This record gives sequence, structure tokens and C-alpha cells, in this order.
Amino acid sequence: MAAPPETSASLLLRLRDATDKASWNTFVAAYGPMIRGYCQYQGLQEADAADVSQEVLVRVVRSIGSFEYRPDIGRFRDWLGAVVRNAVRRFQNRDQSTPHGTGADDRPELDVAGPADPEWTSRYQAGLLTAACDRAKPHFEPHTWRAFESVWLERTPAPAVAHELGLPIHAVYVAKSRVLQRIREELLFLAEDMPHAFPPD
Amino acid sequence: MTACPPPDQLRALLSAAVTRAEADTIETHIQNCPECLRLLDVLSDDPKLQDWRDGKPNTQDFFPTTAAGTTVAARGFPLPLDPPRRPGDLGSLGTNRIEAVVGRGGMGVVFRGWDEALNRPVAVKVLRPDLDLPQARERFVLEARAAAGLHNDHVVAVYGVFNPPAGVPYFTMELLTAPPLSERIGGKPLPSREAAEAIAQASDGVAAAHAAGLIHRDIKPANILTDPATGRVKVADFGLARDAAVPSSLTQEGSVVGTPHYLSPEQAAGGSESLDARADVYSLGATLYETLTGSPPFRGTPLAVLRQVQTDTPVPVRRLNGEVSPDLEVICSKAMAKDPGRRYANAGELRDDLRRWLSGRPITARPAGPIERSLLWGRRNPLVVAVVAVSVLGFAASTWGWWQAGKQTDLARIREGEAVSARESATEKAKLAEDRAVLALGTINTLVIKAQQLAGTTPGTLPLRQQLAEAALADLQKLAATGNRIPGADRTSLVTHQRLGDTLNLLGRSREAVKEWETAVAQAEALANESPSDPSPKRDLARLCVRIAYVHRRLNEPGRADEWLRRAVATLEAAESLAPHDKEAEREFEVALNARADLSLERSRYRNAINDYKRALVKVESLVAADPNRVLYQSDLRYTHARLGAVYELVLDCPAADRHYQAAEAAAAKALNLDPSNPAVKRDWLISLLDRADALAHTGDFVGAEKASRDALKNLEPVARADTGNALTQRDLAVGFGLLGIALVGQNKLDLGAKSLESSLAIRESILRQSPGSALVAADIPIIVGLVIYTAERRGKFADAAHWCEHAIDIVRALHPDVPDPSTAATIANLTNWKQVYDLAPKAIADPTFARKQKAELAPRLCCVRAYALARKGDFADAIASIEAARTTFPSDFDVLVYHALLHSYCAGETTDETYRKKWLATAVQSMTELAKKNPVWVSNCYCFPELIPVRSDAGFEKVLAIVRQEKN
Repeated sequence: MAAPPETSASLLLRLRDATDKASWNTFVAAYGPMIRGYCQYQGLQEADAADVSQEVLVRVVRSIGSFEYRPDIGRFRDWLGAVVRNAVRRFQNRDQSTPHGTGADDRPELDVAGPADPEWTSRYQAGLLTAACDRAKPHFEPHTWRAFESVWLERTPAPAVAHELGLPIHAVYVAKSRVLQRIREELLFLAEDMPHAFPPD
Repeated sequence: MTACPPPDQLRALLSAAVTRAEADTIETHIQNCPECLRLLDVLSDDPKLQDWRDGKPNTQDFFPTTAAGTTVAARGFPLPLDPPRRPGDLGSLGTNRIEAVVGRGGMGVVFRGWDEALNRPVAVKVLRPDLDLPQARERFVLEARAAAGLHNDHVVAVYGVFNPPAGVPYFTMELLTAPPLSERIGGKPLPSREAAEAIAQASDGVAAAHAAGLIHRDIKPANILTDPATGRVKVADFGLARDAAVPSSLTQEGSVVGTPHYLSPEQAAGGSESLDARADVYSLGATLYETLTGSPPFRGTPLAVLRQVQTDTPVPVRRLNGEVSPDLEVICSKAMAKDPGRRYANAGELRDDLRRWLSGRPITARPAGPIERSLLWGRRNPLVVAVVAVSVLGFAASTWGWWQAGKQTDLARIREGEAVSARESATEKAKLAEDRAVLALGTINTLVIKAQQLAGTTPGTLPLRQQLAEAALADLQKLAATGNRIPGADRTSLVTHQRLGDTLNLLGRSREAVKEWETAVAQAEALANESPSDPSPKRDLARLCVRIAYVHRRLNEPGRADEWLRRAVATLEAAESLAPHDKEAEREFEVALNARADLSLERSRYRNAINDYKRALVKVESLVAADPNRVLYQSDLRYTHARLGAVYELVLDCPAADRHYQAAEAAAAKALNLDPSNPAVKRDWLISLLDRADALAHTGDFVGAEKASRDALKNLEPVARADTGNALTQRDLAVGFGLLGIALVGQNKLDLGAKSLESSLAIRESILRQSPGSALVAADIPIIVGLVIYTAERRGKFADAAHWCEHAIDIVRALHPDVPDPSTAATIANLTNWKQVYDLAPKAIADPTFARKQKAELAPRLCCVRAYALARKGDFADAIASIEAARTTFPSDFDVLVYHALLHSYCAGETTDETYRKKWLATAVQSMTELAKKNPVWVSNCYCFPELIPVRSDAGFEKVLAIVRQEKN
């Protein structure tokens, strides 16, 4: 695990430190897939999507500590969505004869943020949830994780899960509750765009 | 069907805050209750995450925006801030703009802010709103105020403390940008000097806090800020740390806030109410450890670390980083001692020792604490190691009174009586003289007496004793310097030097103590010459001689000890002729006689010992007759009787031994009756029970021995459990278990006996781990291992026996780590040999020809083990035939001779055939006679072997004893 969520600074804060290689890797692993997927959804080929998402990731890290990203104005989620959309748009316009000097390439993100695209929001959520699950999983015994997977991700009724795994029913709920708690913590670590005030209970 | 559990209980279940029984009850209910299942489903879930899972975009982000002061963090605590006054701020508090969160502690959250009134950056610490209970609040404010009163270069300054009636309390402090030490370490050791310097500075800051009565409780590398440019170190988070006022549910297992790596063992054990400065000393030590090695002392999950902090010893610093000097390692381990009493008393002492190290001066810490050494005085028994080489069986039985060393409390006794009389005379003198020095001495005396009276047996007083003694030492040294310059203040000066010697001795600095006492001797002599008819300087002189002798005896210089004791006795004889009924002199006399007898006993001069003890007994009895209600005299009576019991035991006069032990027990009981709350008296009584158990085992009364040792254990266990850091108490417990083990084995209750012996061994080993080389256990630990090995053999558990042999080798190595002396090597070789024997034993037993085919060093022992196993099976004739064959093949082998005697006696006792019984007994007597000539010590201690009871009860055995007595005298 690159960084346990108990540590005070969340991933996005850590990214401001250019030398923090581990945070960069964690960031790429967590956000890369959803950005690539969204690029493809916007009509890019797989290879192009990879290029564009790389460009977005670099751009995010470069601007996260700067004026471009203003948590007091908008959410990271929506800002990131806008950055991706703009990057896709730039890529698609690259070969077209866009007149220079319109300022569209300079700093369009905040201006064009507009209303969030529900598709992006749901991809963002699913992507983060997947990343958080991946990070949470090693912290649990296999049977705990299996119980959680069945009862929550696969939505099997708890008594059936208990029967299948040979556990008491209450243990299934305890597993679900504990894993979800951990996932919340991991999400906070991965995506919280301001330092959180209090440690997890 | 039962009623549904309330929702709160279901919540508790989910947060694992119910007992197993409660969980089981809930389980039984919910199996048939769809209502509860539905409720649990909801309670254990998270609707927002469900949306995420189901691909429903939330209109709200998962995280709150930074809009206003009512921001709710995901865990449900509102940020306790007022609305921001500027865009971009998180909020505000009083005159402070709050810009960002910079950290969290167990008690609160820290913000970066700007004080608009004073126009400076500040750090603002706010009490966690969920902890805003009256008690926590009060504590938070109190500690913050105390921290605000600290002005030290190495403590982060607190600017102001605020306790608004309608809000959460908070305070402001210096905002530092220096990185914490944890970042500087970053998994790699710092150079030793840099590390020592950083921790010395941190200790300085913490010392200032300690001086103000403040304990940090959460020192760790992350709380020590260091400026790499200036090297300046500051300790942060005073008065913020983990706190006793935090509701216990928040610090219970599994939810310990933060990292436990630097918690002291007493904090890890959860005893927060009795924490003192030494908890911080531990944390500073653990931080030093990490600074020197790059990693914390223990690793693992928080729970595992909590456990290790309490029970394990960290890997020595120098094993992880060979560049650290041994002295620095010693400083680190003293700071990290498990027992707070063995640590530096406060951060100031740690700082001073680090400074000493940094400037190349000698440090005060020693690998074994000084108190440890003065407390654990006992006698090393060089005999043991030599005897171990004879045979495992041999070494199980071959030291005299195998647990005698260390059980004596004679010095404590001397001190106690001494303390009383010295206090009396000092008070008296103080009345007469106006000399300020005398008054000062009086005060210091009380200090010394206090330190002395807390003789090792009072639970938990070790640190107090050390502190008292060290304080007294400093004062006495000053006083001695003055006293030497005041002519005529001879008696004061004498007493001062005597006290100085006592105190040094108490601190384990025996040689220096002797010097002081010798100075006092010269002064006493001068006084005695000045007024030859006054007995009191003679008493002083004798008392000093006894003390000096005591130290020489302990330093293994019996000749010199003897000289001093002779002088003491001669002086007292002179005093007696001057004042025949002087009680004080009479007591000095018996103490001196007892001391001389102890020395004779140690040098195996039994007749001399008996003479002196008897002379002492006459004096003690006269003292007791004059004042039967004086505890001191009863204690002395017990002591002298107990020693006489021991010496008679050694010369194999069991009835006399028993008589004296009984008298000792009676005196001990009387003393306890007079002073039931005195732990030293209580210990005397327990020891008299153990003595009795020992004596009964000697006479073969194992049932009586079991009862006596169980009585003693019943009383010892609570004391020992309450005071695990007291090696003396622990050792008494080990002795109790050892005797119980012998008594049980004697009754053929082998499994129980083995357990008891193993407990005894484990306790001794733990003492040894806490203070390596402790004389208290070094002498008899090999004996107990021997008994454990031997008991495994009797039970036919050869794999166990082999395992214990290996274990014994480890112990011998640990006892003699660096000394490649031949007797240690021989012991190890011998144990290795026995291990091989036990490895091969099953084969040898199955195949009668196997043993003879083995190497010469294994064959005789394999024959013995085989014969013994046959006897245990009830094949007496086979057993006898096979040991006889071994005796013919290996006529000069000691082990074979031992087994020959043992088996003949055992089989004689077991057989129903009268002819065989007589014949075998006669043979057993013969073998014992031979053994008595070869190794009288072995025979006089063979009581550990119940197999020998038949031969020992035989009329012919008297001849064997006669030989032993003859050999001994």
C-alpha cells in the first residue's frame, strides 16, 4: 500500500509535492482507468484515449496546487470532468484549422465547466469505488472480504451468504459494515479535495 | 421468540462493541426475525455508496464542499469553526482566520491560521467536538494553560488559551514549518551525534515540562520538529496528547488513536491514571531508538505492537546499526526499560546523560541498573558450573541448599536496626549541638533511612529508593566536604561518612562505599582511643567493620571479609567487658557473629559456622527475653535459627535442622503478628515456610513439603503478581515453585511436578532476561534446568528431555556470554552429550544391543537410561540385570554408579519379593557408600531423588552419612 488512509494528508494534497512518486503512482492507478474510459466514451480510439488521459493526469498534478483548481469554487470531481472534456475536445480539434488566439487552449477549464455530465459523474464514482475496493481488500481476511463481496457487491441476501460461508448471520453484517467503513476511508484518501478534519472513527 | 434487541445494540454489534455472549444472543434472535435483518441491512450499509455501486450519479459529491463553518466531515463531526471572513478560508475562531487543517491528535485538530489582531501566523488547536465532555474539556484547558506557562527553547510556544462558553475550547501556538523528526529519519538512521543531539534537545524541552508537572504522553518522531538548517529541535503538542480524559471506548483495543510504537509499557497496559514523567522518558528512548536505527522498536499491527511493547525486548540498537557506540546503546536501553523504576527518573536525567555522551564524559547509565545490583546481591556459586559437568543427575542435586543464595536478608536486617539507632542518636545529638551540620545530617538521615527501610520487598519502591538515595548522596557529599573542615565534629563526620558509604552501597557502588566506611573507621578508632571507657565508639567501629566485611564477602574476597569480622568481634568483646548489659552492643555482637558464621558457611567451615551461630543465638535470645515484642529481635531470632537449620541440613543432621527451622518459623510468625503490615517481616515469614518445605523434602516428607510450599506460594503469588519488576519477589516465587515441583516429583506426581519446575525455570529466566547475569538466579538456574531435564527423563519424554538440554545450553551460554572458560565449555559438551543420549534413548530401549554399539561417550549413559526405563515399566529384574551389566562394562563411570544406586534402591522399594528387596537394598547401600567417597556433596543433596528413599531409610545408610560428614569436616 502506497499510503495508508490514516495519514493526515489525502492523495490530492500529496500530489502537490512533485517529488512524491508513490502518490503519483497511486493517483494514476486510481484515476487513469476512469479517465481513459470517459475518453473512449467521448469517441476516442483506445490508443488516443491513453495519450489523452496521460496528458490529463500530468495536467492535473501540475495545476492542482495552482489557481486553476479552486476547491472553494467547484468540486474536484466536476473540475476533473471539465479538464478531461477539454482535453478530448482539444485532441479532436487538433487537426482541424482552429484559428489561434481565441484563447480556447489557454485556460478554458473553469470557463467551460458547465453542468456536470451525469455520465462522467457515474464513471467517476464507479472508478473511485473500484480503486477504493482494491486498496481496502488486502486489509481483510479472505472470508471477510468474500462475505462483503457477496452481500454488498453481488447483493446476495445475508442469510444465504452466511449459509454459504458457514458464518453466523451477524458476522456477515459486521463484515459488510467494516469493509464499507474502510472503503469510505480509502475514498476519503483518494478523492478528498480538502484536508479532512477528523480521523476516521 | 425473544424481543428484538434495541437498534443501539445492533449498532454496537456492527462496531464490534459487544461481547461474544451478546453477539450469540443476537444471532439466535435474528435468525428468525426478518425485521431485525432488515434493520441490520440498513444500519450496516451506506446509501451513498449504494448509489455509487449502482451507477446512480449523486447530485452531491461524496465530500462536502468548503462552504461554511457548518461543514460536515464525512465522519459526521461538524468543524467547530465560525463562518469564514475571507473567501478561501475554512472559517474563523476569535481573532484568527482559519486557513487549513494541518494535523490531528487524539484530542483535537490543528489548523493553520492567521491571527488578525497580532498579525502573525498561528497554529490553532481545537478540542475534538465529539470529545467535548466536561471532564475532557477541563483537562484540555488545564493542560493547555500549563503548556502556555512553559518557556523553553525546545518547546513549541503556546500563545493563548480560549474557553468560550458557547463553543469548543481551543488555543493558539507558534506555527512552525520545520519538518518533524520522522521525516528526517525516513527509514534511515541518523548519524549518532545528530541523533543524540536531537533527542537531548527534545529531552530538554520535555524536562522543562516535567519540572512544571506536565506530562506529554505522546512523544514520537512526528511530534519533534527539527529545523535541518539550524539543528534546532522543538517538541510540539504539549497538552494535546492522548489523554486519560478521552472516553475509554475511544482508546480501547482496536481503536487506539494514532501509533502505539512510542507508548510506554505502562501506557500500553492501559494504566493511564498512574502515569508519570518516566512514561515520557520511555517515549524519548523509543524515539532515540528509531533515530539511531531507522525503524521503531517494534513492528506489526497496532495491537501486536501494544503487546510487544509490554512483553518483548527490542532488537539491540547496535545489532541494527553497528556504528552506534555501546554507551549510547546503554542510554537508549535505560530510557526504554520496561520497568519505569529502571529508567531515568525524568527527561532531565536523560538529557544530562546524552550531553555527557556528546561531550565524551562517562555516562551514568549502566547495563544493569545500580539498584538492581545492590538489591540482587547474592552469591555466585562457582561450584555449580563445575558440578554440572559431572552429570545432569549430579547437577540436579549437587549444590548445598540449592536456593540458599540470595534468600538471606541479613544486610536489610543490619540496615533496619542500624537505621533506627542512628536516627535516635542523630536526634539526640541534634538536641545537644548547635552545629548546623548535625541538623543537616539529621534531615539527610531521615532520607537515607527512608530509602533503606523501603528494602527491596516493598512493592514498587525501587524507583523511590533510588531517588531518595541519590538525593541523599548529593547532600551527604556536600556535608562530608564541610564536616572534614570542621575540627571536633568527629562523631558527626563519622556518621556522615558511614551514611555516605551506606548510600553508595545502596546504589551498588561498593568500592566507593568501602572507602567511605574506612574513613569512618579511622574516626571511630580515634574517638575510641580518646575515651577508652566509652563503649559507643567501639560499637560504631564494629558496625563499620561488619559492613566492610559484607562488601568483601560479596566481592568474593572471603579472606579480607574474615579479617574485618575478626576485628569486629574483638572490638565488641572489649565493649562487652566495659558494659556487659548494653543492648545496642549486644545486638551489634550478634549481627557480627551471624555475619562471621555466614562467611564460614560459605567457605564450608561448618563447625566454625555452628559455633558462631550458637553464640549469636545466645545473644539474640537474651535480647528477645528482655524485649519480646520488638520485631527487630524476633527477626534476628528467625534469621539465626534459619541459618542453624541450613547448616545442620548440610551436615545431614536432619532432626536438628528441623528443630531450628520450626523455631525460625515460630519467630517469623511472632514477628508478623507484631508487625503484620511490614513487607520485610512478611517475606521473612514466607521464607521460613520455604525453608521448612526444603527441610521436609530433605527428610523425604514430600507430602509435608508440598503443603508447606503451597502455603508459601499462596501468599507469594499475589505479592509477586503485584510487583513483577521486583526480582527478589519473583525469585521467591520461583523458589516456591521449585520446591513444590520437588515435592510433587517425590510423590511420583510427575506431570504436575514437571509443570511446577518448568514454571520455576521460566520465572528465573525472566529475571535473567530483565537483568542479565543477575547473581540472584545465575547460581541456581542450571540446577532447575537439571531437575526439569531429569523429570522429563523419568516420564519417558525423551524428546522433551533433549529439548531441555538444548535449552540448558542456551542458558549456560547466556550466563557466560564472552568467557571462553573451560568449565563452561565442559558443561556445554556435557549437555550436548545428554541431548544425544536422549535423542537415541527410544532406540536404545527398544534394542538391548543398541547402546553398546554407540560411541564411548554415549554408551554408558544410554545403558543407564535404558535400565531406568525398564524399572519404570516394572521390569525390575531386567532393570537390575542391565544396570549391573553396565557397571561391569563401565566400572569407573560416575553416572553408571549413580544409576546403579538409584535403581537398586528404587526396585527394592517397588518389588514385592522380600529376598530381592533385601539384596538390592544392600547393593544400594554399597553404591551409596562409594558415591559418598567420590562425591559427598552429591550424597548430601540427593534428597531431590525420591528413588533413593528406600536406601536412605535403611539402617545401613547411617554409615554412608558418617562418611559424608567425615568428608565434609
